[in-house]
Amino acid sequence: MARYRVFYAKRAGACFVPHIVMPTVFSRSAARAGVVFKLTEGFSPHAKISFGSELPVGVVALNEPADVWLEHLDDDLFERWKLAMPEGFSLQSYQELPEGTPSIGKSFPLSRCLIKSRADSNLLEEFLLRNEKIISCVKCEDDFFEVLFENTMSFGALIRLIISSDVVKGWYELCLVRKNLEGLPNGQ
Amino acid sequence: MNFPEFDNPYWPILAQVQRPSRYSGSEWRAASFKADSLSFCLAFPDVYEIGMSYYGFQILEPFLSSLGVNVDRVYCPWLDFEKILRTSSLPLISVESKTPIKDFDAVGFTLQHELGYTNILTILDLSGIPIRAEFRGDKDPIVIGGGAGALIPGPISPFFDMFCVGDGEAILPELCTILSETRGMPRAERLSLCYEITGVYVPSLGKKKIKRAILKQMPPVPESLIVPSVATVHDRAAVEVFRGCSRGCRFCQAGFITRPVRERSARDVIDGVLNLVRTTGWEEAGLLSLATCDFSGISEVMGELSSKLGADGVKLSLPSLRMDGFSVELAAELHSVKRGSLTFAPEAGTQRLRDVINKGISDDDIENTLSLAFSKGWNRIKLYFMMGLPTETTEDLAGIVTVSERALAIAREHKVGRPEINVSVAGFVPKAHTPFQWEAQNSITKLREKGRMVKGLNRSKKISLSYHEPEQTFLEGIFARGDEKLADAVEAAWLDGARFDNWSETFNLSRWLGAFEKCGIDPLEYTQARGFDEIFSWDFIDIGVTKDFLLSEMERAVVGKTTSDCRLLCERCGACDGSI
Repeated sequence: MARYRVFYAKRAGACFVPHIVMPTVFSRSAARAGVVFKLTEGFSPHAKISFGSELPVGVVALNEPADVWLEHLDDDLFERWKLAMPEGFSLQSYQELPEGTPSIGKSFPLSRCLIKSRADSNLLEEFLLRNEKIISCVKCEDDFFEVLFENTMSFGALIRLIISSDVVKGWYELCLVRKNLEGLPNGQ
Repeated sequence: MNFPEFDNPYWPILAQVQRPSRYSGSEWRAASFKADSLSFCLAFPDVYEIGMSYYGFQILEPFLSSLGVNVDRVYCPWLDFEKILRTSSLPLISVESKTPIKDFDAVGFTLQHELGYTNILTILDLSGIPIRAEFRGDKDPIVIGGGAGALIPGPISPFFDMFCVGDGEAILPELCTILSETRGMPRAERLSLCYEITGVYVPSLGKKKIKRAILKQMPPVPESLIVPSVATVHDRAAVEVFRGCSRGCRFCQAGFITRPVRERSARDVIDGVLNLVRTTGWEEAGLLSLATCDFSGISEVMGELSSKLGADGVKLSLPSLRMDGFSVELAAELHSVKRGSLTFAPEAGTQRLRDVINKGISDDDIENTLSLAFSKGWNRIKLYFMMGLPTETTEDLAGIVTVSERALAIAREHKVGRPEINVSVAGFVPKAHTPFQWEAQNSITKLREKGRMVKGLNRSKKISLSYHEPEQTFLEGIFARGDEKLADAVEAAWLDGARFDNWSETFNLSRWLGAFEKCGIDPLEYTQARGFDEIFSWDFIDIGVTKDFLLSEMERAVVGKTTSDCRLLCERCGACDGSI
């Protein structure tokens, strides 16, 4: 048995599959591909998987990490697993983790996201620039803002703050993407 | 940066509704869409997580695909999504290919429950398809109804172009060929050609004798199933072990309209389950039928599957158990079954009434089954009963509590720690095509009185007894033996906002009473006792079992005479001519 870190994306309809069922999505697709999970102990054993910080529904995810404990994984099996994922989910890459590797939460304490308002882009920019929880905010093409923040504040909490500050009327006025989770810069 | 998701006009809508995963697809399915093929949308008149538990679509989707048909599905939008679709003027689209429903060649509804009728109109209307068949043009999809409700089509016949009566696999090959070859032809001509097929009823062309289409042999087990990415009510890989039922419980419509029994071989079931678990990745497999413990190959299947699936950590489940020792032993063999809860359906509180309904369970069976269940380690038992059954007395109702108390006493005799007896009592609805189709249905007031009486007799805190509120039962009873006159009321109630009537949170009886009044319909006409000389609106449909047999069963019921399982003794019900 070994621990692997798999990176995956959620696009299109998969963005509306809630985070809580992600372990089932992974374990079923793995079973279809012949990838064998280590099971947890206890009364109701299930596949041992650990995900990053929760992603709210409606958020496009480009490169999310998941730690999986498997009997074995190689390039062939990984390709089979990719083909067995449901529509909208795609596996991007994997790496075997040496023992003692910190958890996803400890390895990636930062989120890098793209946020765009379908309403007033200036209001959104103003909000993001003055929010002290946001480490950096850069305007990108197509009126997206790339923001970096610590995962002590969840992405969902940030969105709720944007809404409650009347920057937008609701989730439907936002385009949300999590580009990736990140570690702290070297030396920190 | 390219994010086509955000250009999708449905994206901001999904961000505003409850459980957007109901509409977003993202399933696992080995599908391919073929250009220029006939396109068929399977429609389920309830929400996604209920509809995905319906095994019929899991059978029909690969079956239609094997005929070269492009298949997709649609489920009824919940109230919030319907509201937004209406204000945005976006059409309802299918789950997988996101095709507007009105662009399909055919839309096939499954009619599982009378209280889903208004949802049919919602799906049609949101799709831009005229809800009444008479107003549809040549370019509108052919709207088809199948399933149990197709055998009592009256209340919804104006909304359908045709009904498929019987096994879909027996009708669809010919039907799809005709629909495919007649594309572009006038609608009336196409329907007329379809009306020649055994099992097809076209309301606009008038009634004629419709013989239920029966598949003589079970079709092959599907190679794969659609796997949802979200939780559904029944979340497992399932194989149908047989169709039909030989027990002859007199209240059970499903048993009579699916006769005769047709079984799969044990080998096919075993190989089917193992293959499906492999191709779907499901953690649980189920064996489906009306009475799985009656399957002749059950011991062989359970023996082989329990060990093979157990080795891979896959659970095997049985959806229903007969109240006999054999069933409990089977359940006990399922090592993976948590010794938590077992469910049984005695249905009636006394032997006398169980004989009236031909349930085939004796007091000894109940006693022995419960004893075995507790001795095997179960501590929670759920018991289902009905109230309002024909010839029922207060003694029979009190018997429900007696059986429940006896269950608790048996648990204590076995020194079960913290036993729980959960009892659910539902109102009886006389159904068409059953021996009780002539019986009166208890009124709302009567059912509520009976429910309160039974609940009041329960003194034990270890017995949790609940009864169904009778308003939904009342409405179900009207449509269960309804006719064409009711269609106007269905439309009127729908226009008044009736939706998801089988959900207690959205059901509103006053809407329906208002609709009946507006249409000049007395709903009590449908729930009262019916004359033996009455020609029912469903009599033109020949289910196989004869009306004479149903009448003779009713006569036997009244005197408490039982009829044996037809696998043991043929009573010539008419369903089987010996060729099956």
